[in-house]
Amino acid sequence: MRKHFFNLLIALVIISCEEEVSFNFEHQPKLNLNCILNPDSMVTATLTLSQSLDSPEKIKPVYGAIITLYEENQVIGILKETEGGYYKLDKKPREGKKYNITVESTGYSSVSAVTVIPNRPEIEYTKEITGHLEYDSTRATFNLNVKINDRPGPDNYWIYDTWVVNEVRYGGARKEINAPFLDGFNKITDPEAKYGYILSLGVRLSDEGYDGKTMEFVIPDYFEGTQYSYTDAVHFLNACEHYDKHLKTIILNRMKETSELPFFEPVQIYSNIENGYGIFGSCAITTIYF
Amino acid sequence: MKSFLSVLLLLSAVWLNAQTSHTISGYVSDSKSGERLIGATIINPESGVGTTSNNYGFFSLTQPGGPLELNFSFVGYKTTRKRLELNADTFLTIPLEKGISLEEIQVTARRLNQKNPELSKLSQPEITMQMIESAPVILGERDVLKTIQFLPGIKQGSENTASFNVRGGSADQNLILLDGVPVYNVNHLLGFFSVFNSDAIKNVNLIKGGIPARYGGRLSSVLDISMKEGNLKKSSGVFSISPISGRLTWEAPIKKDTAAYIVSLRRTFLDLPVRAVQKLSGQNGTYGYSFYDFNAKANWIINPKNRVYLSLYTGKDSQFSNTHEGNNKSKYDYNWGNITSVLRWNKVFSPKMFSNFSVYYSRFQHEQFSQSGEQDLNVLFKTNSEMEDISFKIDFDYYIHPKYTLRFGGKLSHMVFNPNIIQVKTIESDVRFNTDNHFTANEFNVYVENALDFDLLKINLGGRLSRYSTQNKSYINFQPRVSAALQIHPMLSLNASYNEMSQHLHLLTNSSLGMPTDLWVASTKNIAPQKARQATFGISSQAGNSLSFGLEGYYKWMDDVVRFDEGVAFLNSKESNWEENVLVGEGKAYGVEFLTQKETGRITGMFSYTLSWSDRKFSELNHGNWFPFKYDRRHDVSVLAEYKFNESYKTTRSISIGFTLQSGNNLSIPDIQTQGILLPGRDYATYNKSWETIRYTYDHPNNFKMPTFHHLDIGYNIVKQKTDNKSITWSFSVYNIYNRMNPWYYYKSGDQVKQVSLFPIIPSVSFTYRW
Repeated sequence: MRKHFFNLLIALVIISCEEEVSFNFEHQPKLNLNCILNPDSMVTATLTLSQSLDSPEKIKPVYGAIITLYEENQVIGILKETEGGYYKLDKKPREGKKYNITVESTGYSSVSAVTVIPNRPEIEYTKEITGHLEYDSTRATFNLNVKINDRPGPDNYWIYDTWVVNEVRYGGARKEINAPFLDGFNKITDPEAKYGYILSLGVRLSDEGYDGKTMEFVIPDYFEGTQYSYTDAVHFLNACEHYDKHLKTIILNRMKETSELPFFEPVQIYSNIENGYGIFGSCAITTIYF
Repeated sequence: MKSFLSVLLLLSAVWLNAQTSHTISGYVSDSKSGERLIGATIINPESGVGTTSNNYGFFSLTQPGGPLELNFSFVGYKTTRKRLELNADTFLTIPLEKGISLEEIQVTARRLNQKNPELSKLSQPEITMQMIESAPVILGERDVLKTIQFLPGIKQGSENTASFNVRGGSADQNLILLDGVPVYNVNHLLGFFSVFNSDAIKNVNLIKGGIPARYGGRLSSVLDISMKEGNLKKSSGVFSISPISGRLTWEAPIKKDTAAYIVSLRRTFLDLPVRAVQKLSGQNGTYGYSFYDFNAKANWIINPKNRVYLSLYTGKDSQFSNTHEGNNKSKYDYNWGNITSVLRWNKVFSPKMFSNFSVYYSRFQHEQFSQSGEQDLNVLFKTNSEMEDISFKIDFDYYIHPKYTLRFGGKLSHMVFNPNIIQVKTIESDVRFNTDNHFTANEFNVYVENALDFDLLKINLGGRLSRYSTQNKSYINFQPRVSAALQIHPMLSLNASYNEMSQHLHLLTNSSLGMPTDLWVASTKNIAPQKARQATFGISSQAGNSLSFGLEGYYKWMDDVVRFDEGVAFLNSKESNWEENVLVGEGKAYGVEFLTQKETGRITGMFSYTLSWSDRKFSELNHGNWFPFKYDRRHDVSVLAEYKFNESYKTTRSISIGFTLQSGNNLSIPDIQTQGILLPGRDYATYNKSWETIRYTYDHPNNFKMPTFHHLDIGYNIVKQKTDNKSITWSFSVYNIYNRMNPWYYYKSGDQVKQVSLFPIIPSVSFTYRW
């Protein structure tokens, strides 16, 4: 369907004149701050400069900036620079608290942002054995029956696995689920997929309509691994409002870039950094280990 | 006693005077065809009191009894003088002969040739069929929607598309009527041509400021197109051919001076030889594209006070491909089109009261149909989007006094929407998606207009009340409308207007191509109607007999404007409810328009300049800050001119030029790169692709201004009059004479950005035969 329609457009493009163009993008570099707070980790941040799209140079780190972190409007520390553009504070943020960050660097406008650490997802689960692999009857297949006991207030859940292959750990979202609270913003129809669709680059659940309730769903088709290759955990990440928007726009942007059709609405990468770019967000993660 | 008698005498004189006023009413028509003339002027030259004929050619003028002279004028026709003794209400049918009148009367006819004299030329610019016929056009296709884009405040979408934006509004904010029926998709071939066949059109009326209360349903403008009625006197026809299409129009009386009909067909023809070649060459498939428009209309004058009309329009674009390889066959059709039909009844209740009753049906549908299989086509994939509108309308024109006309009426509509219904059928199953998207809505409107003439001051004061109901929710909007013109000098007038509008239909579009994939949706319980308020103020001047100037400023506020959310495309595979994929926000637009026109003489034409701004704001985008609208074009210059050579009866020649220069459209193009963060879990991976760590973004939507758009077109027309009734017209035109490659679209190919331009220098020739 899309192919036929696109063919019509291609026909027009073929009879058209096409030329490569270059634009002179003029851009005044600004501070680009990336910092995601997690109650399980020390505070880390990267600070770099934005640059024009057509710049051939590598992204430049920012040295010697003063990055101040506040908890509930009280200063809790200044991040120390560990290497070019990387900054760290040996403190762990706490669930439910509000954090502000300000960044000052000579020659650039100061930037600032706010986030509130969300609550760690409250997860109950059971393993349901469904059979065994066709090619190895010693290895069972199973579903994970999951319950999220949602707490009152907006929550944005992202689900991803981590797995190990030949002692190298990988991670990412790779499972489709089928539930009424699944956010279908990144659904792509695939008749051969288990539920008729795949989810591009992420699995997001929203508690809209389920606030304060139990959200039950199944993550299907896990199987027991071998010593060389196995899934070691599934992670439930509750993202703050800003981090959540940032993730969605990254995925939508990528879908647009890789789509067959050129007519997706453009996507602006979300940033909550005042006077700058990047993201200052937070999350809390609950992990189920296999 | 004496005082009492004096008062009595005075009152008697007044009463007697009132008693001796009578009303002349009737119709003004073309003497050769019987076509009613819209906006003809009727003036008592002695008193200067006059009126104009309405949309059906009807006029009514109350004058004191006794000897009376009236002048009947219409642009392009000789003025007819009528002398009569007015002793009673009189009904007349005045035929006007085509021809050249005295310049002064012609200009006077032009000046008064406005059904809304309280509106300036910038709010209601004059559009004549002559302007449409003479404007140089691409590929020889006369097009009313492209001609109006030379007017100030009216901007095209992409180059050469029929979609247009008025005073900072979007394309769906223009109410486009064909014989009073809304037409929802006006685009052929991705918007390069409109659905309107100029051979079948009689009159075009455009209003973009001070919109009177009789019109409603859109925020920015009204384009009211009237079809010809059919020649009541004798049969006649027009045959035209251009590089794109052939057109045939035929009109004839059913019964002379009583009933007539007109049919008009336009069709592309390039697909026919292509199909023939494909079949003859033994290809295992046929592919092609075509479009057509068919207009038909019949009317019957039952008696001088009753007339009925039946109009039909249907048009369709069709892309198809049929292939067969061995036992495998596949068939694909992609088509979209409109059907409109209307039954109207004009009734003259009294010499002062004219009415029109209409029942109409309008439908826009687009459909994709794909079948495949071995031996039989047994796998079906079908998508369908459709909207239907069934309405009943009543309008009254009550000519209470030469200085006061009351217009009132109402409309009741029932609408059905089926956006993006999908069916997948195999031997084993038949599944439909999005059937929940089906819904219906009803709308009820009433309006009243008071047109007051205080000689130097003309006012139109009215209001429109609308009630839109759907899904157990009703939206009630009262829309005040006021416009006024004050003549402060014989050659200078001030104009001002204020109107509020509401619109419950929305066109969700990803581009300005006028693609059928643009989705018409209606307000629901979650999505309120759009609303706008527009204020205008201007000054207009008539310098000499033929030169006019106008300068007008406007400010428009828009609420509840709707657009697709980021990352959405209609043709994506999400197939979810459209309401989940839209954003609701605000808009504002303001600017100044300048227009000068030369209306008589060998050289005629106009020059227009618009300076404007148009912005949008959505809480979910750009941190809720204002950003430029896609069609926020700061400057717009247009020139349209025609030079007529020495005329002889047998041959008339003219040369026309059209020049357009506009600031470019705005696009959202990433122009900044920053370091990004990895998606959750991806920090473990060692195979990170660059897109995961570098982000490309922009500061605000529509950050990039496309290059200035401009082109110059030239046309040359020769009309050879073979006999009184037969003529041949050759039209030669060159579009984009200096071959400016205006960018039409940008796309990324790897790391490169490519510009696509579609319209280089394009010469064309078209031929028209009239008999």
